Amino acid sequence: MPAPAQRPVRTSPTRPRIGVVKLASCDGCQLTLLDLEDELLAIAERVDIVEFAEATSNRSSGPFDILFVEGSVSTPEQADEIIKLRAATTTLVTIGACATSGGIQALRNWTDHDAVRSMVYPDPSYVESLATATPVADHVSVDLELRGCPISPDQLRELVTAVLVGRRPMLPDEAVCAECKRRGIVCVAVADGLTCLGPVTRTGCGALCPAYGRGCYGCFGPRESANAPGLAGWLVQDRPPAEVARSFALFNAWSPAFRAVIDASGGPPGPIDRATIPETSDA
Amino acid sequence: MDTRFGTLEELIANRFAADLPASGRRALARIARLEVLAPGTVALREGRPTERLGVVIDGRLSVRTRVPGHPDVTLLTLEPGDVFGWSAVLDGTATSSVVALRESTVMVFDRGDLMRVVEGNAGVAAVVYRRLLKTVADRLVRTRLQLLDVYGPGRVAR
Amino acid sequence: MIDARTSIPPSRQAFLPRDGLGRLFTALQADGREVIGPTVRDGAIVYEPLDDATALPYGVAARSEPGRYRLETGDPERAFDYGVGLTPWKRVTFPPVVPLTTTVDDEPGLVQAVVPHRRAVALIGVRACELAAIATQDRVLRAGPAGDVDHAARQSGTLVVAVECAAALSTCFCTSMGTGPEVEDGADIVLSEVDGGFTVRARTPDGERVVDGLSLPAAGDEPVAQATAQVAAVRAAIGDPLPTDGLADRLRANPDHPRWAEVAERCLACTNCTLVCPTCFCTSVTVASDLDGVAASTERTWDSCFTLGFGRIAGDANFRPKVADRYRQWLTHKFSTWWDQFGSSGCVGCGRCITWCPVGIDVREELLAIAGPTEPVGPIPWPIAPADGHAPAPLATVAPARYATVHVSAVRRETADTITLRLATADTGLLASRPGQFVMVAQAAQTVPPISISRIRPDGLELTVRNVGPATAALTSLGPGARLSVRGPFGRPWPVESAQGGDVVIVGGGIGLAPLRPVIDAIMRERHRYRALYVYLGARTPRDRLFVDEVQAIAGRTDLEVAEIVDRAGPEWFGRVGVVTQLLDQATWTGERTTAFICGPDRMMQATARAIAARGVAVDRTWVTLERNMACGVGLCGHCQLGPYFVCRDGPVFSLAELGDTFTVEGR
Repeated sequence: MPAPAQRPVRTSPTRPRIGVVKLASCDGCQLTLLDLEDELLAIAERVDIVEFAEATSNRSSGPFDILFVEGSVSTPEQADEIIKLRAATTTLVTIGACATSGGIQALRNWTDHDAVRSMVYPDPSYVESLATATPVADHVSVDLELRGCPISPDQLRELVTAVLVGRRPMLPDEAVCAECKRRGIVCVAVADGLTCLGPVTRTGCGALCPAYGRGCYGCFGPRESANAPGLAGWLVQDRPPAEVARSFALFNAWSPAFRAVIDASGGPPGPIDRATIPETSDA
Repeated sequence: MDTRFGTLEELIANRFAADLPASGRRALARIARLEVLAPGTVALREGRPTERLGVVIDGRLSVRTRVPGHPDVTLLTLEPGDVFGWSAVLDGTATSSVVALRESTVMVFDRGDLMRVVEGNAGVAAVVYRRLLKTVADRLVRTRLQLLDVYGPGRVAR
Repeated sequence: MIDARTSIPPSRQAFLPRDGLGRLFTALQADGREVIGPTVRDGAIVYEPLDDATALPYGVAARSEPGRYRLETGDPERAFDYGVGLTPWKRVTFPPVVPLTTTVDDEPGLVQAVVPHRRAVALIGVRACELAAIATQDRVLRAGPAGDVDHAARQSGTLVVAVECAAALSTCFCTSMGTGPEVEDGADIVLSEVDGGFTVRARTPDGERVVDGLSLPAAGDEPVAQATAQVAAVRAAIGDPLPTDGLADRLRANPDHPRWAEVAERCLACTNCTLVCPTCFCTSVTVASDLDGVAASTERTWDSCFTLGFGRIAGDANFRPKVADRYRQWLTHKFSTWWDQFGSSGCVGCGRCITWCPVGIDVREELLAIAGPTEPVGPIPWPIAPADGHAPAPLATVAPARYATVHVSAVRRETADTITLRLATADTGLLASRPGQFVMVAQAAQTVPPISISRIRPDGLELTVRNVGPATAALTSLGPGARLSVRGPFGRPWPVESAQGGDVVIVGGGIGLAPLRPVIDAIMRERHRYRALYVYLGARTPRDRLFVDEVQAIAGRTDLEVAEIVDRAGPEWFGRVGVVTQLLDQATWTGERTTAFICGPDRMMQATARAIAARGVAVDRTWVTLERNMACGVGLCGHCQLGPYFVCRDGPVFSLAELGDTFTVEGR
């Protein structure tokens, strides 16, 4: 990992060079950038977008003042690429659950990678992949992160604004509960008995699911001081332990706080049970 | 003998070990001597055997350590009442150098003499070792504070 | 206990038939008020704007337990049989988000306070415990030196229609907290729901006006007797689940009880308890701006002492890193130090924190375990009552936050990361600053840090700022001619005059010299009033020393002694190396008539305080200035709460006698 002093110093204080790249991911978080419709032109006037495959044909290998990285590190090429990108970047921002905690694909980290691969692909030698899907921060140092599956346009707007203005972005690390209470949403855990990861999940979504009467799925991953075992200990009082573990085994399953709960119940419950996977696809 | 600072027995009581019985003070006074160090004099050299224990009577000395490729770093300064060369009683090697920053007077005990006195007199030994332990303990506390000052969170905006 | 019904003659009690409730709504609306009251939404009773009385929760009862809440079928004739709802009334009088400042058009860089507007509302269905909560929060938010103007405006526009409880929840404990269930004070109109309607008591001229307009008949003996019997039954049903006699003292005497660590394993620090609490008042400030940082605004949002960021200061130091610290802070403040600060308990016994805790932690149970009647009292780790000068009385009228415009007239670089700004101003408030006070410095699109005053001049102030984050980076890059918006001065000054006639010891570590410089200035101006003056200064390296020329200038004088020491130096440095306490070890003075003023990093101040005490200086003459997270500067945002104090308002200067062991124990 290069020392901070060896990283490129921001070249143009007025027009930062911005890149957007992806590793293993669905592109949904990158597209959030395009969702900033009202500000997109204003942002484009203030920055040079030198790499953004979803939006422009510009290609660059750096240097970047700000580089948004989507996706987890899932292949050997990605593991090499991210190190090169880091060396070319002043401020590296990971965006989305894949980049910040491994994403849904990190569920494979609990499985026998070779066995699964040989079941899915007739000739697995075509597939170059690592046994694990891991967050970018496991490979290089990260300066800022935007959580979520997908990320929040409001938080993205705030981050871009803060970087341009030169202030600390307002990206709260508190629980979803704080947002629920400020919005006056009735607690779905207490009033409906739903499984809700809100108390251990970082805010940023505006408490979207509880606002529609659903428990929080934990899209934004663990908040600071996330006491996931404490929540799990309460939930198992009237739920099967496997169901509790499953609720943590989603987009941020590989985050240390959630992983601890999953590991304590012996790994993510189903559906990957080799005995139930057919030998060949009949598609 | 230089008597500006009092007799050796008085100095031992005032600067080194107030709780020594008179016999102990006399025993130590017999082996002590005062030395006046010109600025720049190296009283103790890092890496060499520590042949004497020193007590600062007057002046200021710096305790320095070598940092390869850099100028020496001053770890602390010694002033009247401070002790240096405590590794003498451990049959040890000096862990840092002691250099006079200005003209300084030190009271010194040669290692061999000192060990003869402490090994032959359990009462004196208890007091001397307690004094040296205190020196080391104080230095540890100060070092901890220095580390916190240099590397820990400081007072920030104001 | 005074019964509100008996204090009003039965002849003054009116009767409102059940179908007359709509007329009450109409009368309140005709008074120009929005009516806010209970209704059912998403499986809970919430308090929301209601169009008419049909929106009230007729036939709805509630059942609450720790971590569980369910609505049940109740008497279809009754609208107020649900206990307390989810919503705390502070949502109306102290909303979750309130605009604080905006930038000033055509005045780049300057900010102005948002002027709140009064809104006329009527709250219907307020319970006895909730009345107590409204009064408690009002006391907090009106306490000096500058109250919450937004809250004052909202509160003044509020008419309260209380409805006495006829049913208790299992989580209720108003009886223990002395706040209910009988309604005594704080309402304009008090209703009791009985068979066929309501008994009605007007308690204020505003309430009388509304009730008189309804032309109600007098209540007969039977409804009045039923109301009395109902509330008595509620009292009996609740019992006394949390005996409070001596609770406040036992709680603060047990900061190290093992139960704190146990509850921290269950506690999710999710903030629900504090956000449903009707008296919790802690807030943070959020900044928003356009892409250029020119048009910007700040908002105040509900925050909680349970978040990690709540105790964090620039540079990422944190005073309550552990959940156990935060739980202890909350519970101890609520049930103990609130008495010191505001003369009452911070808890009213509504039970919301128990019901809405997602893991069912019951404060009554925790309090009984930590500070139950058999737990020992004492020694209490800090003084029982705040010393003189603390806990200012509530303000009769609440003054708005005042931003003064100051001009940067000169900038002087002190070290690689520290500058001194000379600010010119004609603002009489700022010019009356005292040594040790601080100002809140606002810049467009930046957070607003507290900066202590490093010199008070006839024509302005000096601020010495170290670059430790974006806001201070922006300040340290200002040049002459820049303008800033400044609020202040805030905080209790160093008691410099109290040292007259005796010796003075000043110990500064690093940037800690900045708030001490006005003390040296003040003493040098009236040098003859003080005896010996000793100034001991520490810095990380020779290059990190502040005000080097000035220190050298006074070091040449014969009427004081200056000693400096640095933590680390190269061979070029002939001065002392070590820690500042070493300077005290070398000193020859003794401290019977000595006053000490100390400022530096916490650990340096603790070590210095020990060395000072060893020289015989009394703890009530040893003064330190503390650094804490501060968002408001006037004791309203709650961040800097420490034992019985707000550091911003009651400090930042404290004597060691005032701080007790809060000065040295982690996590306070």
